[in-house]
Amino acid sequence: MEYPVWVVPFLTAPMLIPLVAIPHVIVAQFAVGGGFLLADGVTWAYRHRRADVLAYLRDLARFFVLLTIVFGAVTGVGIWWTIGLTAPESTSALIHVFVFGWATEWVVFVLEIVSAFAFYYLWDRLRPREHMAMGWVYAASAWLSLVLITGITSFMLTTGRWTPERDFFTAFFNPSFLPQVLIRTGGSLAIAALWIGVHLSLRAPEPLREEMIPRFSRWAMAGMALILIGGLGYFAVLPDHARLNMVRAPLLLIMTALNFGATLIALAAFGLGHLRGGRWINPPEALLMLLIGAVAITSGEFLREGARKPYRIEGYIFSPGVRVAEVPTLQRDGLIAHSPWLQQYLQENLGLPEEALGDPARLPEPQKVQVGEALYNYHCAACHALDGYNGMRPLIQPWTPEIIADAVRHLHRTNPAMPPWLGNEAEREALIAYLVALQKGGP
Amino acid sequence: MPPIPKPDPLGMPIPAVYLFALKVFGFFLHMAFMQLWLAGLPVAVALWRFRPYVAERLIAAMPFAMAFGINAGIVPLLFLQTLYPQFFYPATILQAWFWFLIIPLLLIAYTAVYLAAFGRWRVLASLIAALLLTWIGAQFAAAMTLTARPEGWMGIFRATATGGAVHGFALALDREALLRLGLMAGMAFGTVAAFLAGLAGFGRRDPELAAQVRPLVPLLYIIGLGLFGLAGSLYAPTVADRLPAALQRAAAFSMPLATLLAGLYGVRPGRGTAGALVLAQLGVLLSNAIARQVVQATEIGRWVDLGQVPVRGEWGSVALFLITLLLGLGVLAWILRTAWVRTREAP
Repeated sequence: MEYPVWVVPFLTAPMLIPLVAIPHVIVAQFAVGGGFLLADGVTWAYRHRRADVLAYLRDLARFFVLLTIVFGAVTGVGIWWTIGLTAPESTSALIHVFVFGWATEWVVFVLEIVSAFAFYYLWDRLRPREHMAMGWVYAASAWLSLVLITGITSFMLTTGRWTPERDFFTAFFNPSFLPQVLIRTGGSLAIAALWIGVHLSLRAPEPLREEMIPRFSRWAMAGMALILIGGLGYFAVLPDHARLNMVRAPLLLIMTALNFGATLIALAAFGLGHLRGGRWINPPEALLMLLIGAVAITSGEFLREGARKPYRIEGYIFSPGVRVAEVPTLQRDGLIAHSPWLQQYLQENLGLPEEALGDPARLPEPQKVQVGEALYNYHCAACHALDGYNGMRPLIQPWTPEIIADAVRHLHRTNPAMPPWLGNEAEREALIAYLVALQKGGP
Repeated sequence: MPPIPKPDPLGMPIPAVYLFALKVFGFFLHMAFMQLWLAGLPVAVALWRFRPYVAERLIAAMPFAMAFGINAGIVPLLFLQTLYPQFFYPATILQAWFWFLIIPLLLIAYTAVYLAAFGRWRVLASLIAALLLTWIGAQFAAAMTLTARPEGWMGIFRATATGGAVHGFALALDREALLRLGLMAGMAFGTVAAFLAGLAGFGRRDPELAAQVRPLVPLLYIIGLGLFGLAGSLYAPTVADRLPAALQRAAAFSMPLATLLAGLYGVRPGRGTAGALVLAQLGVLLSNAIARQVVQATEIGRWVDLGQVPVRGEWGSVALFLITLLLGLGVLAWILRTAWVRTREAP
């Protein structure tokens, strides 16, 4: 609550994160899994002296390097960019816990880029052993990058034994770390096989497709096994509130179904590819399969994010950016008293006297509604646009003023995915006044 | 008093001085690669007509400069957010849409660089990339200016707050930000010139490239020195009190010194002068990187005393980083050595 809030109409600012993150994950996982598939392909081709396979893999490597280095790297930075804008408290906390984890990831990222460039640009110049080694260095560094980032992202869902006094390694090796590494490694192999399936269907002659698709499908099926093992582990370590969210929230239920459905279809496709080779696949089918893979990843990411509510960092920071430890103070003193930007706005933009900030419930109705609107932006707008994503206006449309008041009073008890009310009683009244005015068509 | 948030309650992972040193190191690395594209692309656009061979060599290097420039840019931003989150986040949130816009613009620019490198619409693609990347540079300068100037926050907030939240359409592109961009661009012409001299001197033997680069190097340095001198003479007096005199002199005079060496290169091109020029330019970058970071730290230091922020002592994760760095450098050395040897062999 110490930072200014950026409101993005219709979408909510935090929803910009998946807009950047989901395309990134689809490409970044290709960058990881594709590394193994390419290194394996090149190794196999050199050992069997297959110039035709090497020629095809060179074409694939060009597409791979362009897509993963340009799009993957920029969108990866983009996620970091966006979380700083939309959730500064949580980003700051993550950086203060994991700064040297990120720095370590930077080192492997440098290796990833250098080895990828060497692998592709020196294709004709490297000796076979050097070329193979370059491919495996790339695959290993890309996978290490995945492991390091997973330590950070999994921490947000399961902080485990970590407390602000504990060190980096307690946070990094949190309960869902290993399951998520397995899921992401498996997902990377699977999505890489689907990306390469599209490339093969477009660029490789049929005999080569026949040969390569079963080879890549084997990697993908191993990936699916990792997803299964990791998935079971993941559900076993999920916090209770996250499990509850997945059952209670219709959107998360739909995402769960999509995730399972898409994963099963992909598994069947890999099985078919493994058994029947490239005969059954053509460009539209390959694209459709990639789309299905993308749906599996998207729904999985959505589940991971959605299940975390009401926290941004489990047990440490609530969705509106308030640390759990600060809640009693905020409930006692009021949210405005601890939000300097909000104070500035109310005093300087709205011209409210300083003494009114401590008890907005006593203000005349129009001003109380204005205070309520500002409180809404600081407390609710991170997850609820007025109209659009999780829209507040359509949500409360059928409600009576009494139901609105009741819902705000029992925020966390009405819905466990909601944080508790983070202000004092007078501020709660101001928010209720705003929501009632909103429901009546104002303010 | 601007509403500066309190330092993160988790405290500093290690003492601030180490974080600051890493931030300077990262900024220096970022500058070296970023300047290659900042001036390299406009220079390539200008050279396509008169010196297409040099333009082609420059453009061929751009995808690498972009990849490593973006990658190295992560380092100073990471340590900036560790040292000064309470300054950096409000400054970028107030300009949220412009800050966010950097990502799609960078994607377009990066794609344009590859198009040019692969020979598709070379002039147009380089021009688009040059314009977009210069604009991104301006946005960066604006964000960093506002990070160190909390006194400017409330004016923007008052003008852009609706219902207590900001709409994020402000851009703090003031005189100072533009002057710093000018300084950076001035140095960048020198970096491109030093890169070309290095390429001609130490790359694969290419008499044609060496002949074409020879008159270009001093010319680019003179353009760079002009820009650097103009922007610097207007900017330096505003920060003179925030910088030790020795550092001020090093940052100011390193560029004229490198320009003299460029002149020498124009007269006597060869490995010796090229090597000296590259080293001199690295000196320009290092002295200016340190000076810039010191100025920023002094400006922010008016509002926060980092010495008062508790230190957690996360030495275990530092060890992980250092071990990975050491191993990584070993692997990197092997890759670079292999690449060096193989690219020098006949195709």
